[in-house]
Amino acid sequence: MPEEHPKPSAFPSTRHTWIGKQMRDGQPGRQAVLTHLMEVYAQPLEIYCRGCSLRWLGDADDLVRGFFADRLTREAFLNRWLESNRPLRAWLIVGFKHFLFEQARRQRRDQAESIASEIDHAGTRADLAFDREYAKRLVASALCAAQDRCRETGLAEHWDVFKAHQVDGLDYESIHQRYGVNPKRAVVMARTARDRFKAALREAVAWEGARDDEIDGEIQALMEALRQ
Amino acid sequence: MTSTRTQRILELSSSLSPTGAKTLLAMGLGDSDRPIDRVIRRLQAEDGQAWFESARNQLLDEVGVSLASIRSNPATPLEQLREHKAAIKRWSKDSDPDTQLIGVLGYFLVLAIASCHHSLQISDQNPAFVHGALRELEAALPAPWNCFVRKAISHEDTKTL
Repeated sequence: MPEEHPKPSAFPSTRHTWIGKQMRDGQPGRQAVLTHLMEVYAQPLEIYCRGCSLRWLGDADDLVRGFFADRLTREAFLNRWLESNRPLRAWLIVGFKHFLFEQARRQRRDQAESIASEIDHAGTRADLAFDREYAKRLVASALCAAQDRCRETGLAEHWDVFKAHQVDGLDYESIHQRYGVNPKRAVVMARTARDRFKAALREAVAWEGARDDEIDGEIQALMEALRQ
Repeated sequence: MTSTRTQRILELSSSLSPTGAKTLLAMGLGDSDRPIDRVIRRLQAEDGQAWFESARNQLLDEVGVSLASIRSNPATPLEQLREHKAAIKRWSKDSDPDTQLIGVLGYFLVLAIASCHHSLQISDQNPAFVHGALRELEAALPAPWNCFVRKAISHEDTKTL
């Protein structure tokens, strides 16, 4: 199916900048943001939902869709993130927890206090499951963006060598047999593609005003989540 | 309906193991010119193989570590490998840039040897970082070291200390 919205790989500088631009473009832009958020964050949020204390609320898939539909109709939700100087990951999971609480209160109006005590605080197994799934989605999204960039700039072969080595786990001798690129050249080609991937990953993580060491910190937090 | 891009992301993320995702995440960290990158560049220079032989000789003569011996002896005790690692690691902090490179090279080769013979990662560095660094080092090393490091990388069950 052809893509209907601008690709996130065409981000002007960071994902933050791209989202800001789309939000100013009205409904089509907002739809593009929704598509992007769904492809990276929907599954991690569903996994969180299935593991959290409010999972009795209903189907995780419906709740996540409801969350995006509800919050993205509020102009302020992402605009406040744009001004928050916080990673989008943290903004969305907190927003999702609030959304679940609202749903729970709606269903059990008479038990608001007991519902409040059911809310998970940060650091639970459900939070960790969210972070782990998000880390994989983020990497996959950055791989797609970097692949697109390599293809657009005549580096398709470089990308194939990088992916064969780093993602598929082939050694350079096998790459030589498959692609006819000698191992020494393959190392250099993979390094060029790796630089594109690194840029795509850091762009995907960055938020307004984020310093390099803060972006490193966010990446390290995700690596730590995958270690547990 | 799922768009092509969404489908690609779904397939890629499903195919990534936690170790694979960590290795890729580590590539996004800021300091791209790591000491191991400098070692790889040195190995890839025209006289890279001669430098590699000279580095191994220096480690043997001045630190007393024969990398070839411990590589070919799976019975080398873990404690001895840890001692070699500590001795070689000191070289990686030397003020002379070439000595530093020899130290970093020796350090990663001892890690590969420990991984291969004992299925243990004897480094306190991030396992994903070590895994990724060995992957890149493997391609720059001459035979038979490249095959040996490849074997070390394939020990997916290597435990972290």
